[in-house]
Amino acid sequence: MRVEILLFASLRDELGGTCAVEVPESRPGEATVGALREAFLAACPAAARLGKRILVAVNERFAGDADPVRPGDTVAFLPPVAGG
Amino acid sequence: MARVTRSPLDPAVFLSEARRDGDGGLTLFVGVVRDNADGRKVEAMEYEAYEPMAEKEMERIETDLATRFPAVRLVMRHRIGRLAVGEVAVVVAASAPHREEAFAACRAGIEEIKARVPVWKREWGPDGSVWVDPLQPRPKHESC
Repeated sequence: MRVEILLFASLRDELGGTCAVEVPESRPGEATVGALREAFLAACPAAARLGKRILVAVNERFAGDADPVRPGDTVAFLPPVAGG
Repeated sequence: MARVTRSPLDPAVFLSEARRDGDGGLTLFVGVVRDNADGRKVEAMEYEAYEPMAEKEMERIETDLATRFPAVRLVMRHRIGRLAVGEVAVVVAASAPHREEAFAACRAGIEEIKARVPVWKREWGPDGSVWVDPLQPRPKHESC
């Protein structure tokens, strides 16, 4: 399935504000965050310097690699946060 | 007022917002932009947020800390946009019946913000700008 990913900060500077990635489904209509991360890193080598340090948010909440992504979810890939 | 805002932050406002008549101890953390980083001159910090999520994450921190520190009232704000040296980037005000809880909750509040809220900062200096990576030694400025 195809997932559109929102990007922020250094990732946005390098890759633009959004990036669409094709990811294999783990079951019909569903992929895992981990598979999406792999597909993203394969499609966007510029992001490899962050690799596993990229944080993933699904529907504005942090998600782990085992969590599901479904059509219609809002997905964002975030560089390590640096507020304060 | 939104927890993540482009408006300047006045710490005194949030201290009085946190205070209740039954409280005897208030603590305040104020994070400001400093003029240096790893020996480099800093002229400004540009803060960016994933705004809707940052707002929600600040709310979730407040909910978590209300469970950990039930006697404390916390008020937390983060500013975004371009801030000059000395401008206030983050405020955590904690009000409690006694000082121990106020200190502990205030400390926990700023640590949670730094760990969890999707905010980033770009450091601007005489030679250009660089995104701050909290875990990496800071690279030299890239030219812009």
